Amino acid sequence: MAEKNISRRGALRLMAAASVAGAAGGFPRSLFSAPTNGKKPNVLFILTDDHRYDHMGCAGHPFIQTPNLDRLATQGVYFNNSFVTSSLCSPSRASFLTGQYAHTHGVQNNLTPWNNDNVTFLERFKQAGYDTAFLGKWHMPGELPKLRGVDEFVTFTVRGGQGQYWDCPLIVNGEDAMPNKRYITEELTDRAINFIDRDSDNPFCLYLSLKAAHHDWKPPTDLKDLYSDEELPLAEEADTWVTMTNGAVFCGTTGTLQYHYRNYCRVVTSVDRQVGRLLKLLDDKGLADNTIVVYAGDNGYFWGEHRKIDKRWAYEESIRVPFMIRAPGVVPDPGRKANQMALNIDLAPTLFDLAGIEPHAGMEGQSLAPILKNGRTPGREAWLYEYFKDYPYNVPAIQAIRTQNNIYIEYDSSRKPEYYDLKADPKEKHNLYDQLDAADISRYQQMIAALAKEGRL
Amino acid sequence: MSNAQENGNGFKFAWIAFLWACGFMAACKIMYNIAWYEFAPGMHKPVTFVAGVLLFAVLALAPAIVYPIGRKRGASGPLLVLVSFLTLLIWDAWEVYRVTEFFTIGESLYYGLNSVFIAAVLAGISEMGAWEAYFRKKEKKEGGPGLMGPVLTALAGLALLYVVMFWNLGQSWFYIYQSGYRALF
Repeated sequence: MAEKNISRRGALRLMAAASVAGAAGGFPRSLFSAPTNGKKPNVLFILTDDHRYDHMGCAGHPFIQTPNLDRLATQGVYFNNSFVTSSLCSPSRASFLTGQYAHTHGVQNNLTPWNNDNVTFLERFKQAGYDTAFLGKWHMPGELPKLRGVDEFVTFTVRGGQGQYWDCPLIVNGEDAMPNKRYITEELTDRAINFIDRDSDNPFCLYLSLKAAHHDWKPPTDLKDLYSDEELPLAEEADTWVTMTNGAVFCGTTGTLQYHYRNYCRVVTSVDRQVGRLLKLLDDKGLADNTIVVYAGDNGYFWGEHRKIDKRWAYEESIRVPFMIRAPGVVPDPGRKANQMALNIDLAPTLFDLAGIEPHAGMEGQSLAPILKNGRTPGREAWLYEYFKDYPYNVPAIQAIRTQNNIYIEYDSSRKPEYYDLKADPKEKHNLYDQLDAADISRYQQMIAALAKEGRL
Repeated sequence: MSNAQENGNGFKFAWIAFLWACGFMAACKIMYNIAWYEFAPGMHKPVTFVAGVLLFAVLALAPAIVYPIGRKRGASGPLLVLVSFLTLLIWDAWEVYRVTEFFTIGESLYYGLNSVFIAAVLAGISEMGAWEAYFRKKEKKEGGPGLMGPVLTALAGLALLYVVMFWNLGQSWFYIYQSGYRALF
């Protein structure tokens, strides 16, 4: 294993130093508002798994060190009000790829297969003259597709497509292969580096889809003791056994909450380290000023909030994700935090907009490029959250409307609908559904119907 | 005391042990699920921790308690095995009922075969096999049944328990379970 062994204290010191350098302008901000000389921009999209919105240094987490993600936030636009339209791996991933809601692209849960008629943004980039690669977790039900417009397709099918942190067997362009590195995040990053470093005059569009930070949270050996002494900021309603009770056995969390949470934090830091390698490569090769870098998570994660583990439910911990875009030459004020609501379905239209590619029919997201260019651009007013039954997980089908300050939630079960004022009650403890009048309820139901039918209001 | 009287006496104690185990399980479940964090936030974490440990313990060990209590006093046979499993069966029935909120009746029944239930059954089989071997060795009846059967039962239970709960931390079994779901529904 090529992972360099450093002590926990050493690792923390290094990360803290990098963090300070980023905050103090050690990485030049001006570079990321510089013009790109009219060349087609490269695209590097990094997607992580179950990385929750508030588990980064730049999001205010009390101890997680993520200097490289913090650097991205400093050099681009940090959408700190970002969501997925379905908080589940397969549907959310398909939404990133297609720019569509789950009810449109058809991957409704982890059991419904990918439709090969779906058009991915990679396919469109290929048509526009890009070299393209999909590296990492595919994890959609059914046979592995022959992804149209993808030059290099590296993935895994072990453990139902979840992959494994150590010694993960790969499928490289349809052929079985063993990894060169033992740790999957490092292996995939190596392959991403090789792809960026390839011999080609074409721009690239790279989709790097990491297994981390999905369970079973196995950090690299040199990070296995990181954060061991930290006091965990768990919710007051969290308990040690929430990982194993009331149907949680299917969530892959056998063990205590505290044990898994520390490993989750370590795995997030291991992701950050690999992001750092990619950013350094872009710097070293002189590609940074012409490469759009996007970092996002496929859904959030409960760590005991609402007495839950896992995701799926329409509460903030589950539906909010990290989402940041570094777009050199586009953002006049790098380091901005954008409060406009951004969605996973916005990725594809945003990339098209930034690369000058015409969006195709049927896309339901909207470009965030206007917000990148001008922080005063208004965002969307509302969007649809949808969750389809995913046996055997103990969560009913859900439809919800999220606005800037409220969420209205309906269940396909006997469960009472919910309504929260997120400004007054950000932890969603007080269900105000009974205070809604009939007209309000009707309005939300009409919004659900409209978004479920048209994808837009 | 005749064999029949011994058997009846043994079952009486087995039923009493079952009722204690069942009542204890219910108390733990209520304690765990009650909203302590709303009424007494300071108490929530320790109460749920202890209740959770006890709940897991009673589910894993109910057969190991009921079976020897009945067996020691003369009860034996399939009915004693059933009584030993009753606590677990009641818990599973409650789980099946609970998930009818999310699933169809058929799906809910299949949910009852989830890995926790299967693992607890396998643990129970192992425990009862071990106890039966112990009692047979202690009784040393001339021409009576040998130790091989219960010992093999205990070992087979442990091996299958490993497959269900500990092979890839239960993930491999989960995908088998999921394949069954796809085939059935």
